[in-house]
Amino acid sequence: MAADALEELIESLKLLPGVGRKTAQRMAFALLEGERLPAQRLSRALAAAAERIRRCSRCRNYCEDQLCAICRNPQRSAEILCVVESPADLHALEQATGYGGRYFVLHGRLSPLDGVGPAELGLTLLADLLADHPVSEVIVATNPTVEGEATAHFITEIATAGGAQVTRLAHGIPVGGELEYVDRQTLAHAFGGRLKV
Amino acid sequence: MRLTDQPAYLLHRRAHGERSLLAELWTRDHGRLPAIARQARGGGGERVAALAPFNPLLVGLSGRGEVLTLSAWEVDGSPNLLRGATALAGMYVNELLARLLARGDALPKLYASYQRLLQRMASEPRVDWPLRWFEKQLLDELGYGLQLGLTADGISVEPDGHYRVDLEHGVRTTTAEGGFAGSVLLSLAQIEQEMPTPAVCNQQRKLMRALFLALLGGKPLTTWEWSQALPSRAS
Repeated sequence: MAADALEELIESLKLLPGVGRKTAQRMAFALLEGERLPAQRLSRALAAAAERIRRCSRCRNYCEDQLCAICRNPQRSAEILCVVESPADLHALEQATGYGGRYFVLHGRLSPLDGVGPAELGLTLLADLLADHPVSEVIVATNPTVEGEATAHFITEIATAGGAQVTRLAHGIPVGGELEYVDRQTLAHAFGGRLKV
Repeated sequence: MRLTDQPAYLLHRRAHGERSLLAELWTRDHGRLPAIARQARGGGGERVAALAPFNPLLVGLSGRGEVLTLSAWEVDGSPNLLRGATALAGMYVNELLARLLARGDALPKLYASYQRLLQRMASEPRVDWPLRWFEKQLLDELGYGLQLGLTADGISVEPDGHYRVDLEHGVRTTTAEGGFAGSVLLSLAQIEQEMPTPAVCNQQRKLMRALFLALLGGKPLTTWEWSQALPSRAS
């Protein structure tokens, strides 16, 4: 049933973000060309990832062991905790900043009609974590959207109850941007949050 | 259907593919309508920021099927910035509306009340009073307006009396513990003019929750369950 296997491959590739039928087809044919080494390598990598990668028991970041590399690293400060919506956000912060504390990954944001609430975001685990290992600062790095704002409120309540100081990422004008082209909401936030120099 | 410059609010959005959103809109003249908005996700910018809950929008919609295409949108006036507990309260109202409003059923008076609710929530120190006021408007507009000053038998509600309330029978006297104090009902009848105390407002919240639960067919709102998880209860 070669045709079915090809169709299944195309349909599976379509599950990837940004991949439509045409791109999936191109990918499938590329993988099946010649000796099929790339296809076998990809298949092994996918199987290994699906089997071995899980969530860190402390911060919910992806890892292969009980604890992720960041939580295990003794050089990282246990005094500061940065709460992000996704592993991709964690990665972006790691690349862009010299942050030396730990993280907590929500894997989403509050969304009532999609059934995503505090339990799905691991907020009970966060409350337990802050009770067992109190920190001096919790950085709330949820997205500047209504859902991110509501999520931030929840985290703030939990962190404050745990005795931590809570900070949020600043909203502002993009570097290299010009005021007249900045959208009204960002400009209003940037103006309201102006800093003393 | 083709609509241009239609006043609307976004009640809910969910990702639809890489850059698009499935938007649940509440339009002033055509009620609740679902629509796909292309190029509406990620990266920020005026266009992405505009299509957010609580922003007063002007939208362009087209299409024939169940789900329309949202072809244009812009913020009409100043965006409503709800922050912290107020953002959470706003999400509760949007969940209630998304569950209770029938598709395509225009309720312009309730739409105006929602506009006023958002302005009040953004500016007033207490969010519970405008919430209870809007919940009462919602019941009235959906056709379940209650006569809170009189029992079903036509007897005046007394502040010290105890009463049961349900959508079918209205207000009835009860002797059992667990009913609502008459003062709570009388305050709710006057909610447009007079601000209840926080304790009375909390009783009114319980009453409204029971009434809405019946309207929702016994399936509670997700946001009701959230408030249990907060160290300090929000609304």
